[in-house]
Amino acid sequence: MKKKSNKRFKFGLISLSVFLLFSIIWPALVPEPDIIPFLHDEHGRSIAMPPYPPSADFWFGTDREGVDILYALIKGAKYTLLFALAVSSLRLCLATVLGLLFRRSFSSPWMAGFLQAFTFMPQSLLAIIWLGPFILYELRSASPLGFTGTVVIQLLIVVWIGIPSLAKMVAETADHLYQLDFMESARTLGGTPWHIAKTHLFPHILPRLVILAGRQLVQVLTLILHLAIFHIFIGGTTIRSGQAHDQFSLYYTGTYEWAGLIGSSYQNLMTEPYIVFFPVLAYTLLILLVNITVKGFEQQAGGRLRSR
Amino acid sequence: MEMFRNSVIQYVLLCFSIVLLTASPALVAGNDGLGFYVLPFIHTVTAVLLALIRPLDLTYMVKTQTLSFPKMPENRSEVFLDQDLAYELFPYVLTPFSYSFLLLSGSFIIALLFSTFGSLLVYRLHPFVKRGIIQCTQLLEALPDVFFIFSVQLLVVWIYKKTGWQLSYPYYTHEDLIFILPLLALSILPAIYLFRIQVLLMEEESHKDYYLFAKSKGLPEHYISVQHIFRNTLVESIIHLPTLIMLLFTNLVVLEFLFNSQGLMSLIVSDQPASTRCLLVIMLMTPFYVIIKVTAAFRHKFNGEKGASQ
Repeated sequence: MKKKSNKRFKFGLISLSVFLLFSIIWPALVPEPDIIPFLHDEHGRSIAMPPYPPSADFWFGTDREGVDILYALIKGAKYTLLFALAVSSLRLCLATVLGLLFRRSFSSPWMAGFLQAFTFMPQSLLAIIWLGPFILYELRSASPLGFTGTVVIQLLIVVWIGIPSLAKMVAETADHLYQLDFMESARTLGGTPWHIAKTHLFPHILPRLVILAGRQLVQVLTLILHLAIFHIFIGGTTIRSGQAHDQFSLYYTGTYEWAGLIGSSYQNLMTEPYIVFFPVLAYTLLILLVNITVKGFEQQAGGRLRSR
Repeated sequence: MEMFRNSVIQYVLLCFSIVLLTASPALVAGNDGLGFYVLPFIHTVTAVLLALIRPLDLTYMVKTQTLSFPKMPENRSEVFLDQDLAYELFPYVLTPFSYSFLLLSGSFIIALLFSTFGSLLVYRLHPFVKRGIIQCTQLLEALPDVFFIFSVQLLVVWIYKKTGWQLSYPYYTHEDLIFILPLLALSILPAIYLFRIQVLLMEEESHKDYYLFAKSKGLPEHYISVQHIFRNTLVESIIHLPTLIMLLFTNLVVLEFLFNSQGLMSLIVSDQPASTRCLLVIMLMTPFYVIIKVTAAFRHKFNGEKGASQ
């Protein structure tokens, strides 16, 4: 059992890194295929225009603009992955500091009442309310923030939103550890708080933190997808108009990040399902892989952590 | 009694924290762009609190664009004028509220029923099969709700194309307030989550001493599983209720948008004043807060009677 889960963890980790590396290297080597406005038959008559369905030329088809979906997926994977990784690790670092510093106050009923708001105001809702004004600008005007500004503010807000509940979890874990027997003896033997934290708390809390980070990664990926459904893409949204009325505005992602590919094209679900469904499948696969990695790690560490 | 008092205090705190959260965009976004605006934030918070005292005066905003022709000497062109119109919130909001509320509670009940019957069924299976099912649900649980929503929509259209039988419209329209599909799509993830919890808890429960005792007394397996194990696990699974409800609320945000339905969440997400948003969130969460607290009290009492430690 133990060996198998170890294998699972390795499999997940390796395939995720391969994903990431491929996504960084491939676009550097191969230029983006040109958009082909028409397909011609041998007599020079045009037979098709974008979107092209999946075929030997376009494995996953193209979107309405003629962008090759497979290439977009490869190019965009790194943005999604790196952003999610950055968010979950930042969240974890800040939440660990806060949770350990204010460990006592997190267990008070006051705090519980306050933090319960995050049950009913889900993170997606909060993120949409916060980010909407920054990312979605009026049509026929420019985006108020550049690429870096957009990414920074998205990072800040998405990180901030997850911290209170995560800090509470860290505080609870630490609280639980502090109540264990060996902590008692360490205190009795006169260990200073810093010594206890360093030698007794840290080795025990670290694997738990890694597990929390993995779960955060899954959560953040879902959150990014939710934001994308509301046209808030990582790295900014480009809004173009099909017609004069805003109802026909079209939203594009500049970076081809995966959630953005889904968010910019889900209107095509009923007419050309492949434009949406390949990115959705890829995204689902990504989340599955992350989840397999996390579960593998959890089971591997499970033997040592069985004190719940 | 003390528990009741605590719950009320926590409820007040919860409402206040929702006020803070809905007002929080004012903290960073002001008239001169990004920044850190403490005073405007306090203003907004007091404004929201004042507005909540008289909920009947609240309004909701609708953005419209009307076609118009600018005055002559310039070139004759048509433009769309943006307009923000404010309407009274109150009689209007009851329809979206009941729609969203029915969706939430309906999915909650479906999840509960599914996990109950599912876990009772699975309980009798071979341990190997059971472990496989648990691992499958662990993986499925992490899948994005968007995936399930799209799949449900495509499935309905696919069935219609193949057989000519239409279960329901895939989208919400004013003539057809679709209900079954969103209900289905919303309950998938909570059902999987609750099912996994139930199966795991039942597994854990069947290793306890009383199970062995009941079995050695000669009680039939199905009697023990329904009468003892299931009851105890149901009470234990109450701890996971807040997570379940958070899952429902999170999924509802996207679900209403993707089904194009005029529910409460889509109203909250659209560009509304902070006070309106706040009231709507409080309206939607209150019943579920009551459920959480009542079941928690029940669990407390149940465990107290049993003389268990927690």
